[in-house]
Amino acid sequence: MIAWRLDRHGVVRAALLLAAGVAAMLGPVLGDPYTVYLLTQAFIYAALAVSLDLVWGHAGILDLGHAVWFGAGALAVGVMTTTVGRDGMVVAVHGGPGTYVAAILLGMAASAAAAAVVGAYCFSWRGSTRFYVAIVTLAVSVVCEALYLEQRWTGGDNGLFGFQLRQLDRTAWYYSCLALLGATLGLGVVLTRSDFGLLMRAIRDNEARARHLGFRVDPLKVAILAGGAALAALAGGVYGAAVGLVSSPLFGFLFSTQIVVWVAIGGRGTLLGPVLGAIALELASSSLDRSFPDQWQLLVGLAFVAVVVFIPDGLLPPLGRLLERLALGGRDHGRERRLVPGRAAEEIQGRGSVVAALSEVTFAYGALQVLRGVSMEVRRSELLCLIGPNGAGKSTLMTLVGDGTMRYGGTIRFDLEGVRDHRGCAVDRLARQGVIRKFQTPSLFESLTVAETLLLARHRGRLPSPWRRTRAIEVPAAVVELCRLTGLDRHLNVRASALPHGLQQALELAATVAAWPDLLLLDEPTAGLTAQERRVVGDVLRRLSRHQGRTIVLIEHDLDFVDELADRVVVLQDGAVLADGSAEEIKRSERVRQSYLGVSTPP
Amino acid sequence: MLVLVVLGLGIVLGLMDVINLAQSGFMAVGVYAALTAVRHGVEFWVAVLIGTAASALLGAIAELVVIRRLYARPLDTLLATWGISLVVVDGIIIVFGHGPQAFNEPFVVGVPLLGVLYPAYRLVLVAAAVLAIATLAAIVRFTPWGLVARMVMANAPLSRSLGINVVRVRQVTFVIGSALAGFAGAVLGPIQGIDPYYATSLVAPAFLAVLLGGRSLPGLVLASIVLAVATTVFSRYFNPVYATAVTVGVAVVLLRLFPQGLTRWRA
Repeated sequence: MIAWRLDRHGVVRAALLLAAGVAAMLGPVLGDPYTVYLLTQAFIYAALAVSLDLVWGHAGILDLGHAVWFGAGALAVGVMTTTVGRDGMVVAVHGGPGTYVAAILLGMAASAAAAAVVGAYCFSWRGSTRFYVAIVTLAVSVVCEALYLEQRWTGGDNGLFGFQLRQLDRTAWYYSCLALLGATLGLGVVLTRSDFGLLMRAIRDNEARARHLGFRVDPLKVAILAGGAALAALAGGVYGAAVGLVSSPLFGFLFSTQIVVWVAIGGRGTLLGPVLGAIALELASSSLDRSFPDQWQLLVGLAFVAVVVFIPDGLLPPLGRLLERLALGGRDHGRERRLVPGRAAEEIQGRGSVVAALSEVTFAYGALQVLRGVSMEVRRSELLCLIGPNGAGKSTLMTLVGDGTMRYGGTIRFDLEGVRDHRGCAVDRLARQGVIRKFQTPSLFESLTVAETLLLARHRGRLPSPWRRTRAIEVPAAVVELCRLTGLDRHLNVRASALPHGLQQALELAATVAAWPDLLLLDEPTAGLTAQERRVVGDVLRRLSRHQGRTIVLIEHDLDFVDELADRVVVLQDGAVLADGSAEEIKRSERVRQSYLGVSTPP
Repeated sequence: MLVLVVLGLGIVLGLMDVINLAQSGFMAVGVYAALTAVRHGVEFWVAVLIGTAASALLGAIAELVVIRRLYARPLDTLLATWGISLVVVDGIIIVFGHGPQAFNEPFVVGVPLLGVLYPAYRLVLVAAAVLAIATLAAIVRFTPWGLVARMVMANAPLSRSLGINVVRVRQVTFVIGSALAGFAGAVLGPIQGIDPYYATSLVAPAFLAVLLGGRSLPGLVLASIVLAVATTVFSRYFNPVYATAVTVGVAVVLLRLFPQGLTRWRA
């Protein structure tokens, strides 16, 4: 049944694409020269829209100066093929096809490098938000447009012109630009459907979580922005070669806006939406611009605002769903992923040796002293429960162990393969070396399904393949068991944001386990689960530590649960260790009873 | 000195918690409304008031129709306000045409100041800016309304649970912000070239000023002045075209040095 449906969907999709392709191929035969020229330009713009959709729609980097990269591509071609006179006018055009190709490649490299610098600047700053990169790219666009006018080598006010590659005629350009669009779109589709595409969406949804799973988020974002800029420059270079014109507006604020409008109206994150948006708006505007230029712009502006407010996903997704329902009477079920249990447990080595040693650790939020000299050890393959009253510093301690860039006193040493000294190690580095933290409240990738989240967690910072699309995800057997016991396995292809709270908790825990770290830091992993589910989760955790060599530190409030579960218990109070021992010892300890359990000793 | 009024823009941006890319559009509305009024024989300062009122009205409409629906989606607010500014610009083009407009200075008198003859109108501008800042500061700091506004800024859900009409407070703040933009646009009109893209170039520096100044009034004032001085000095002694680039550069470097904003550099 499912296979049949898949076929039907596949056939319909293929038929639609084929029809679009044939229509596009026939363009020059059927259309008049002017339409062909317009379509040629629209294809270039559509390729440009795809490059912005990758950067913004998929990776969530709002680039309000995307025109700059496009302009740079066109400028590279212009500069390498023209000679500018003293007055800033073009006096000669030269260069063969080779020069053009070299110029386009050079433009791509230059744009990518410039974008990398902008990105590195924007993303490395700790307090930077999504707005920051938007404003900086906007500023870059405004500044570039202003600077362009002042330079002689760019042709200043007039720009550079007349340098179109004359070896290709109009029809040849039409097919070249169609090929450019096809190639860009194909690249985008492969990339976004791959495992790497999941990582891009993960970064868009929840950067902090991606970091906590070991991914080098900042360099990745720089690379994505630079890649998008290179694609934009490719489109720009082809534009330069085809149209033979470059001037300051190509870098500016208004053109940048236009690209954003195409993508937003078409449907960000859909690739096809921006393509259709760019082509449709470009064709409509050139036919309407002549009769009502201003009214048309106003209309586009209003449509843009309306789409942002009421249908933030753009026009394509709702239209697509409607079509799907009308044509096929159902949703596509052919793309599901499933879990397969990985190889059996490894041999446990060094059970009982010290994995993490904290000595006299102090930490303060401003004037508030949270940790006042915590000394404790975590031993390999044990399940250590951290208990204590609210405000004792449990969560802070856990945060601190997971992030070496916080400013603290004392020392924390690890005995893990790649890391000994904790100080200065960023979250993602610690995660890659095997220290992963689960937050108290679920922190997930909202648009990723359960299976996709586990897939990324499984990579733990290793770069996923940019072309392969993994259907069968190999995860540790414990994860399969966790999913079965908590009921997650029935929701493997459901988006995380659509899960009820209890399952979100379970997913976060499963993802932490799937990453298979040596040291798991679990902040209240069973909050929001039923008593039955707690027991189940407890069993799995205990087996993980006893039989599979994982070390688990767990914050918990339910003392009966702790009693059942823990190999060892550490009691924190007022930022210091009050007691440290087996659950039995802790229960008997007079000091703990008095200060924490609230049981007064009988007189 | 004209960049002193960027500060009006910046203050509002910082206090509103809404990234408003339409501020320049509201400034344009302010100046065009004032212009129309003056052409119909209205006194200059009354015209400024009309300009202010026009942008306030537009701000109220924009808030009601668009901004209100987007408080939970800050990045979309940025896009939507950007769209609004496009709409405003195109609206102005339809009504007034593309061409630049002229606006006579209300009094062309020079005042000797530190040995230089300084146009009196610019002094008035400085005074107006200082007055506006002082009033705003007083409202935010000393009145109960200011207290409520700061509460909503700090923690909207808690304020709501305390019985404060968060939507109303934000609406009022937004309208005041738009009014300030209209005021700034109108009073700046006589010393700037007026065209539909009026003040668009100020948006980026104003945002950097906001980032630099953080959320506190003194910080915003300080940041705007630093940027304004940098721009003015540079365009005076070097090439004015590069001034914008330099402003951005200065802001970018300062942000690196004081990531928490200028006023909190000691922390």
